[in-house]
Amino acid sequence: MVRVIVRGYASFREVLGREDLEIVTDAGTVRQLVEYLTEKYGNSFASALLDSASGDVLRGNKVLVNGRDIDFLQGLTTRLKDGDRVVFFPPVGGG
Amino acid sequence: MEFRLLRVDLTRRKTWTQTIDDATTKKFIGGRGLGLKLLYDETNAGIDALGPENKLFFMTGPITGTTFPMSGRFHVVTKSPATGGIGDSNCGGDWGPELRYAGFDGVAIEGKAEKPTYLWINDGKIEFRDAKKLWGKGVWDTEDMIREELGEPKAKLASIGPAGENAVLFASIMNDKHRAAGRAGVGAVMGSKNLKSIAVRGTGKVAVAHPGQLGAAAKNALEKIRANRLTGKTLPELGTAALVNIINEIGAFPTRNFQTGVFPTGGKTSGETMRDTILTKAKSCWGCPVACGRVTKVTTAPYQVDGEGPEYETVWSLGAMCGIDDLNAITMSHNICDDLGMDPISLGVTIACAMELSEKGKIPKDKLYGLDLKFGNPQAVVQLAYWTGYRSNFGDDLAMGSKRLAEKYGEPDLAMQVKGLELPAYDPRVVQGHGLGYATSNRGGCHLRAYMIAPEVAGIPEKLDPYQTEGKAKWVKTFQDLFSVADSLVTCKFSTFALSADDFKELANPITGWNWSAEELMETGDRIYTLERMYINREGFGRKDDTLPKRLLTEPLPEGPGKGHVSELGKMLDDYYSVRGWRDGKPTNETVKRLGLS
Repeated sequence: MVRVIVRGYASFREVLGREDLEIVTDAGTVRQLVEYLTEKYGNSFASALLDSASGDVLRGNKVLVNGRDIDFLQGLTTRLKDGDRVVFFPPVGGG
Repeated sequence: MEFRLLRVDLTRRKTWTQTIDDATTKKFIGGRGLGLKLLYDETNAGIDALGPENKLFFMTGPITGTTFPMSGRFHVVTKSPATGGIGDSNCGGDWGPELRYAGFDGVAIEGKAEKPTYLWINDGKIEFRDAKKLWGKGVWDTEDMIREELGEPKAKLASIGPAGENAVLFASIMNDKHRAAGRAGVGAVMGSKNLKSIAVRGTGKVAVAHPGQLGAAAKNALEKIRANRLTGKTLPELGTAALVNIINEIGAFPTRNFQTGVFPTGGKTSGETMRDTILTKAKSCWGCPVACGRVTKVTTAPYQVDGEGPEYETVWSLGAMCGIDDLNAITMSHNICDDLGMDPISLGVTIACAMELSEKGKIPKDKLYGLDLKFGNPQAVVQLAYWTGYRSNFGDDLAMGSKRLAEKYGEPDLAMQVKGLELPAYDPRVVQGHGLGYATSNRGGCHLRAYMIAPEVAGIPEKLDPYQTEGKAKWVKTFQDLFSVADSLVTCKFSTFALSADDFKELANPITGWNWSAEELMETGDRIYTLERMYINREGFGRKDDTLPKRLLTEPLPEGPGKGHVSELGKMLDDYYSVRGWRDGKPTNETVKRLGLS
């Protein structure tokens, strides 16, 4: 089991709430964490995060583990360890 | 397509119209590019930016006021009193289209009026009007008073506030009370000419070469903007301050004068928090479907204010950069900047520099009148904003900007600036390509010559690893060229989140009658960027100035995801010059010739 902190920002607040979530889970990878969160918060989380056709993270969404984009780690197979911080963003940009 | 330029000689109180030929306009498009060409040709190196020899160009582009989406903006071009290099700034609101409807595509201001003056451009008729009653007034009162005096409630105004009148080196020019040509001190140039405002009213039309072809292209572009999740959802719902949380989470949120990249309570100043607290509604500039603007109201004492904003940059510069997490205080300081007419980025970064100087015991107490100048004090920021706009007490020092301030108090390395322009809200020790953009921006410390945050954080148009240095040079050049085009057409750069150079040419060709390919359009951007570089080379800038503050090159981030990292500018700069066809920060003769600039 690992204890991870999960946070959703912008439109992900609608699913995950507005504060940090402390999650204790036997999920070993980010994908397994996503599955756990989908079970807990409903399909709206998965449909907001993932491309329904490919099952990958929908283009434009961002998943960070300890501030690093999982695309530059091991994607959804990135392993989680105790104390990791996982955050979810839709496309964000500006000036 | 020709360009109708209204020439205004303030010294002689004379005006005349110049038509710039199609060939020249096509080479530089309009807006930033054409304004730059005029400034380059018509002024000499070494002139005093606040002297009568400087010229101030208010430029629209060929697409302004048409159905090209997000085409309500205009661009101001001059010599910057802050940097001594190119001083240009882009502004939203509603002034640009009105100028074109009044019969002009741009206004060129030269000389200096004998006393405070404002211009009234009314459907082709020009008047010089006495601004004595307006001089000293804030921007908001100025707009109301001019509309009343002229009996024209629909007049659009580009005005300065007391900051511009007092030659604050980062004074801005404001439109519609809250939209700013913010950077590089363009407002100080306007003030140095005794010009308070340019009021415009126009009821004419903008000519388009092939209107039949434009309709489909405009509809297609609008659909792309609406369907795009950034321009169609995040920006309208949360504004640009939606960036606070993501930039903070990646450890790139510059805090307390770039001493660290993590601000634990920064979320209190985010777009999400704004939406939960002070936001009244979204607002758009002319012709824009995005509506990233924020109409806000603070009701909590002592920071009550009814206004607009703040944007991401302001929420940061008057917030985390000064160690402040009070959104109400930030919003008040921001609105002071809007009314007094000052760039909040430069103000905040300069205050942060002063805070660090003060904490190190470098600021004499007698200048502070008991003000507690340290990080985390929101009242200090509010007070200093007022003092700076009026150049009173320590505000007189702050009005010089961070570079001169830090030099004066013996700690030049504490100024977070490049080429004399204060840095914006992203730490280049995390976003490496963005740091290369800062260092090579012709304007100085600027995030908008090359918004590398788009690929390195948002993944637009594709995802790049922010920590990687390889290949970043080419991307920086591409963004610099694309944004040169955007600033010269004049379309809002946020359109690039949804539209490509291909989309731009599909829209611009039916408007202008020019038959650009996407490659030709990008080459035009390269030409504009290169001429801009030639302008600053002429003013003495070169490789030595394409750098970053010492802190960012040598002090590793102490915490967060970026812990241990510095900017690796040295690994990218030579590659950038190579990609540009420059040597040591200067375009080679072959490059100048290739781009038709010799």
